[in-house]
Amino acid sequence: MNFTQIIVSLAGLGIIAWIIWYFWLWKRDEFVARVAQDGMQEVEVTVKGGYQPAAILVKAGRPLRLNFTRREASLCGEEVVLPDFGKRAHLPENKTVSIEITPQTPGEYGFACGMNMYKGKLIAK
Amino acid sequence: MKAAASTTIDPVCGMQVNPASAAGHSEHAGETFHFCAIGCKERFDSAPHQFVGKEPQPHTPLQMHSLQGATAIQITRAPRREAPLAAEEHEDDSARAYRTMMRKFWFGAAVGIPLLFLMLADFVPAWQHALMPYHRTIGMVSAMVTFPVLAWSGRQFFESAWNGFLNHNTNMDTLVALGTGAAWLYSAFVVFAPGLFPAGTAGMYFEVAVIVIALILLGQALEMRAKGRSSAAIRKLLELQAKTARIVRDGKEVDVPIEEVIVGDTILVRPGEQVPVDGAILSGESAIDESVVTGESVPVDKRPGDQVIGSSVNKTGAFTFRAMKVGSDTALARIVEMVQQAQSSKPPIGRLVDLISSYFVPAVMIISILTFLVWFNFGPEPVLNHAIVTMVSVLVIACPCALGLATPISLMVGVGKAAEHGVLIRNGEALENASRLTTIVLDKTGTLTRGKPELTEVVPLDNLDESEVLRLAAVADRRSEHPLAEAIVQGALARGIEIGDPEAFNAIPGYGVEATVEGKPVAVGNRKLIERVNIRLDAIEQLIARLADNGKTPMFVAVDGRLAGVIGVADKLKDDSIAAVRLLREMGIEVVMITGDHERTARAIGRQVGIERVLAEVLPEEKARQVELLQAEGRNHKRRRRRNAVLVGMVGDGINDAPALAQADVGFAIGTGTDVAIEAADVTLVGGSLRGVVTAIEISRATLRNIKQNLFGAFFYNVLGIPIAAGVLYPFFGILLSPIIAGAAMAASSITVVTNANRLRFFEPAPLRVSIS
Repeated sequence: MNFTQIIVSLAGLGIIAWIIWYFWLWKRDEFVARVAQDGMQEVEVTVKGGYQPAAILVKAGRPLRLNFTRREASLCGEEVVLPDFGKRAHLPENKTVSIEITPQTPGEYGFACGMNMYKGKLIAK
Repeated sequence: MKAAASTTIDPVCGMQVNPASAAGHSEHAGETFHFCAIGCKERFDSAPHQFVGKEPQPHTPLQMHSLQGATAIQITRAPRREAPLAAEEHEDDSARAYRTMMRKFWFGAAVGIPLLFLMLADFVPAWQHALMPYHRTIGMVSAMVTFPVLAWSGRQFFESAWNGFLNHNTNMDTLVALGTGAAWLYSAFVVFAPGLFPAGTAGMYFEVAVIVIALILLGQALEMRAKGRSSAAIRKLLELQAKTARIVRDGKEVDVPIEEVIVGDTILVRPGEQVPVDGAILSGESAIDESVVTGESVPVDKRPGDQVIGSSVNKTGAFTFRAMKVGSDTALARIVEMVQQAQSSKPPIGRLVDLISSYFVPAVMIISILTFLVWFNFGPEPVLNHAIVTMVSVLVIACPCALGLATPISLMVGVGKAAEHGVLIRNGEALENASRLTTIVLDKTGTLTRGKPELTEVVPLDNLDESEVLRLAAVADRRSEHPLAEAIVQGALARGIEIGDPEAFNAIPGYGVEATVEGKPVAVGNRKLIERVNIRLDAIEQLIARLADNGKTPMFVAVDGRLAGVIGVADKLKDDSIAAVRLLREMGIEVVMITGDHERTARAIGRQVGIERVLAEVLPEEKARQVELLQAEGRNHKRRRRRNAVLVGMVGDGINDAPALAQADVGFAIGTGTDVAIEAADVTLVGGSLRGVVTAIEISRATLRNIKQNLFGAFFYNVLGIPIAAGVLYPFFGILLSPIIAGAAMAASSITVVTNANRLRFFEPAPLRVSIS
């Protein structure tokens, strides 16, 4: 191995370590749902390369309204699926689509795009 | 909410609102606006100018209600026009997106194909020589013409990859963007800073970037069109809704939009028209085609008092009916809701895929870097060229979308197809279990049989003749509400016998009735009743046994303290029960009948229908326990592996079946049964026939097979494609995959999966060979 090869190899391994840290080990911030006028918990979720916020803290047993707005042309996020609640919604670009659910028992409920590439979760407490 | 002169329009969603009952009000420019929902008010308040002075647009949340199954809160406030609109708007969106995508594809192809020929020219020595002096110019022109393709056609990939990156997320676009971006940037460096590269490494891959983008766009566009087709089942259902209803109000007929129909309205339906909502016939008779909801194409005769289903088609006569369920409560709306819920659920088989796909993209990125390093350190010259080409190929070939699509797309088509045939599958798990059923338990009454006993024979025993025995029994039974008594009364009426009223009448629960008819004491009932009045049945035991052996229940008639005759009453088999049981057995499923009947009668019916294993004299509350025992039989069988475990399905209709339906691995509720049973079931057979069980299992098996094919194809593709792209074949055969081929392969894999799932649309259930013996 010559000097260039060593440098390139080290750089490559460095990038691999960084990918693991950045995409797999990153801890997401948790977002707390606010309570709307009508007593429902409400969260605005922006769909743009993922869900923002992607981890949402909610109270169990209380109805929750998730307002999804897709702010990108990519088709990845055009569908959102909440498998635990049997809900699937088509998200037209730049339109807000509300989904109302009630997480009855504490626990984690995932939601994802139609191909399961974007992921978010509700943490009911 | 009814539209009257006093209603106004919600400026946000366009719904009619009664100011008195509106959910909110706002002042703007000296005018008061009323809203159907707080959400509308909030949107209006945030930007009133958007909504004033233009045509109101139905807002998306309302569409969601209809499509996703509304909560109670929404139902009460949301008017019910949304469903067809939602379907149409979604369609428009998809069509528009499809057209844009195709334009982007053509742009990429138009730029890429000439460049591809230019690259191929490099392989012809004479041309290569002729082009040599212009090499750098060609490179610069290529860079300039390909950039707009990346910027416009490929923009969505780069944007999405970047957005994902900011969120610590990856997706398929990440791979496309990295692959094409790397190819283009490398080529640009080669053109504009050739000094940086050792001799022989200065290859250009502009056409690679452009053609890969074009191919992936084409793949996505085709995939989108196919996906649109697969949700056609739902759209078809929504389109089937009637748009208006003719209400009879104050003696006048008024046409009103369907969303304004309220419970209690009297609605007139003429021949050829659609029944707008669910209800019960008040006057008139007709044959109604209910195939929309039940999948059964033979029209059903309806009389006053009978239920009619919204969206079914009135064939022969005009009738009026009272609306009983409207909007999202109608059978059709509930079907749409159930189908959509099922389509978005996940069968257990899909969970593994989820896990894999979440680690997939970063893993591919890592593999591509490793590929680069291996080629860079150990590959043949020119190392940089080979390293770049293989890295780009790995990134491009590894799109996990085929993997991600494999399960949901098949499930969507399968569940939709089942709904077309009147079979509502609750979720993916039910579908997967239904495909693996080994035993099916059929409740006798109402499932195998019509659930309504009928008079089958009258045996006079004394000096009275047959019709006189029947007449006296019918008069005595006239006021009884017991189904067996009803069967006798109906049987007498059917034979044209006139029935008067009894002078005295006493129903004895669990025994029968005692009445006075034309001055004579008449008793009609079971053995216990007859023995109570001290009549001995020894002489006719043989007759009783014969009736039981034919599946008939004997009813004894005593007149003046003497046994006058025996009446046989039987719950007849449904027309297609025998054929359905035979089909189930042919599918390799053990069929078991469960009933509260006496052993002898039960066995007789079992024989008629072709069921050997009969669980008789089972009390209603023991049904669930019996199902549990059947399930345990399989578990005790140690040699059977998990894959071959016994899975028990239960088919029933009554409230008393609900616990058994819930206990079973798959509960099938006959749709004409009670709501409780339907609630407890995994599969609802809207048509009310056993044929549905066969269809449900057939469709489940076909769907599961399809999912497995898809998963196999997608896994196989990736497992094979990534190493080939990385160049494992090179040391042995000298084969290196061009990124262009990788892009085409990736597009092909997605299209294959979607196309394979769409094959399910051509599924037809096996025909029932109806034979009534």
